[in-house]
Amino acid sequence: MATATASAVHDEAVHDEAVHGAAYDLVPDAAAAGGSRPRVLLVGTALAGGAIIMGFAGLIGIYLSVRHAVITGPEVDGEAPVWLADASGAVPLTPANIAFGTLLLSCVTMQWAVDAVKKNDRRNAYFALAITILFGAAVVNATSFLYTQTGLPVAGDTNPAGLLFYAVTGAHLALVVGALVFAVLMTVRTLGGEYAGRDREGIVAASLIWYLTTAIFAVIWYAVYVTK
Amino acid sequence: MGDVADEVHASMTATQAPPRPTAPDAPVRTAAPVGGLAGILGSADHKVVGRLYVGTALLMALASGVAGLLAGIDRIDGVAGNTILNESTADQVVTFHATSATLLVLIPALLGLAMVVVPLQVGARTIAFPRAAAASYWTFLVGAGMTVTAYAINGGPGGGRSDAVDLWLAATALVAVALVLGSVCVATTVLAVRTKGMGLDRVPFFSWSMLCTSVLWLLTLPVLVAVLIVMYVDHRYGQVFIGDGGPAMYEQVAWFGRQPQVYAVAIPVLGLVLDAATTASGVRLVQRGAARVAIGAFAVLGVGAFALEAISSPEAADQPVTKAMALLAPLPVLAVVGLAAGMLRQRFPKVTSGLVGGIIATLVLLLATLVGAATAFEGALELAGTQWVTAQAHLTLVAAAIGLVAGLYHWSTKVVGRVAGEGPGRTAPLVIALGAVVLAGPEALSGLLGDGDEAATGIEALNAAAVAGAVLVLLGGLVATSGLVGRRRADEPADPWDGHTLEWATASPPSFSNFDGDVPAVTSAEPLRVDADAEEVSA
Repeated sequence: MATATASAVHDEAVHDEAVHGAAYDLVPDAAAAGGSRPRVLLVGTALAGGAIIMGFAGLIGIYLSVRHAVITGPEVDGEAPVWLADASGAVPLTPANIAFGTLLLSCVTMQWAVDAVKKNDRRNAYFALAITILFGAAVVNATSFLYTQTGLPVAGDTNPAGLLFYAVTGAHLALVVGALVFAVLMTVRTLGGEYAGRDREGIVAASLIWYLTTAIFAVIWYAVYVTK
Repeated sequence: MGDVADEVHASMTATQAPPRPTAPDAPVRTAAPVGGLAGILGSADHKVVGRLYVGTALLMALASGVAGLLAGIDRIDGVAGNTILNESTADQVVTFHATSATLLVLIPALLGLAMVVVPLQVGARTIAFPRAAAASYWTFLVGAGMTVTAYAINGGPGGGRSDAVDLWLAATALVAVALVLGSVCVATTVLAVRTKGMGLDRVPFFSWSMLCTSVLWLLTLPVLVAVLIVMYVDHRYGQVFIGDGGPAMYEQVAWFGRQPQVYAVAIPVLGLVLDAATTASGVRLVQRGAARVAIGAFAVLGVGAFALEAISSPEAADQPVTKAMALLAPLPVLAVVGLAAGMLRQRFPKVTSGLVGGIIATLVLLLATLVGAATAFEGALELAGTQWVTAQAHLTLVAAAIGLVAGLYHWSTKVVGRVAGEGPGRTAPLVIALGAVVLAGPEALSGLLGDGDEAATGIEALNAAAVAGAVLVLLGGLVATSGLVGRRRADEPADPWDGHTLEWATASPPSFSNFDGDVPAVTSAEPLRVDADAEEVSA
């Protein structure tokens, strides 16, 4: 009798674990259990994307505002104030161009990955996501190289150009790394079977953040690297 | 056989895991699998996370209130830093009070209340991204701890220790990021995890107001983070842009606690008073669309990121858009007051603590918006930059605090698991509101007299009265807290108010998965309302 009771308890525990996953999972059951709106991750990603846009709007806004104030300000030692040196000077344009081009290419491969997951094409999904992540790493490398080439100090004597340059581009570098981590996470989940076919919101969410990262770089590329 | 295997294999080319069990077939866990400290520290249950947020924020409120009181006593003679505090310490105490009131007290407390209540109101088994919600709280806790530590080791704006100032900048940014993460969870819950039949037009007003508030925080907190990043790089590497800290550093973040941005913490007051009035009167609000528009409009009028010191030229207070927003801000509040009054006129309500607190909070908020509107008349009154602005901020923040108290009492069975004492619940808002008027009145008068921060004849009496008001606000807060603590009695009802919205269909405290059976599908905005002809809940 005691054995039968113990067995029943064991069966119940096994059943509970089978239904709910880990027996000690402290996350309540599925968020959409009572709902009919499956795109929770996409909505959350869109909201987070809005927050990211506002953050960079603030950063780039400060950059442009301070730059305007400096270059329209009073002369320094009898000379017109300078923000950043021109294209041949302190901040080289070529690594920025390469980083921008790489990011644009990575958008193509990211969309390729989304399309492959939609078609349940595992081989192409693997390949496209691997290339996207490689491109992302290349952008991190190009920006790091740019930092080694630039002659711009973080702290100028009176000119805040250096600190704002590094604040804006450094924040974007952090965003690229974050977007890469998100893409890798969603890739693993997708290829592990959590998202596939029509239910591919994980990889679509990662692609949204990736496109956003590229769009923000386009603004930085023009506002910081090109127009200086 | 082989064909079947191939077909199965083909259908699983990218899907290796079995499909997740659908909710209706799976038994619902009504109790957390682990209790005690482990159940709290490791939980992603939105009720637990929300309670942690509220508890931590109340502790920070005590610290922030005491700091405000000290700063007030110090400047009774009209000059800061020459009585109980020295000049440097006075700056630190004032900036701690000003920044913590929003970032460490009101926003996290309201976020915590929303984390508990919103999923219940919209019929969700849990909040969207429960692990992210938990991560949001623990990140906030670390950030809040770092902030207090930074001040304790001579940091913060005006601090004398450079590393501690850097720590304050990083800690404040961390807190803001945590609050953004929590806001994403709350907003997504309202947008994407509602139960069947609950369109956005049927979402309870508190949830609607928290959606508007969360979106507003999502749009403005990142701008604060951007400023903090720039200030961190500047302070650590050059001190060219801001300098070595002090008032200039505080001015860069002060916009977050000033008009119009300060209204961002008071939006939930409007949702709360409408929910409380609907519940207490038992009257169905016909003009739901107007109420939603009013709350949304107030949220739009609370967008203040453009007032950022670093990009504001001319100064935000002098810009036409700021003046227009100040002039328009009373209108949505008046609309909500009118809607609530209309309901209460139709049927005499039960005088609940939630209703009393909600009405008082809304009236104080209305006063705050009217005081704010006066700043638009630049030529006649010249109030910008005077103590009038401080009075306006104080009134708005206190209105939000009263709203928080009202919310905690209204949903006390969901938040603390017991019916909170009605006596303290009705008394505390009155005491806090009285304190707010006594606090802000002399400040406003001081601003009207045009003294600014300088000493003037009679300034001591005005400042002493303001300190008395601050003491009353603190006292009211303590009364409110005393009514929330205590043991649950055996015969307490799950729904003490006969509420009409879904949170009242849950047990008190709610079970691990909120709804013990199937989550009800709704067919109206008041699904628990029993009409003469039919009950509108379909299980």
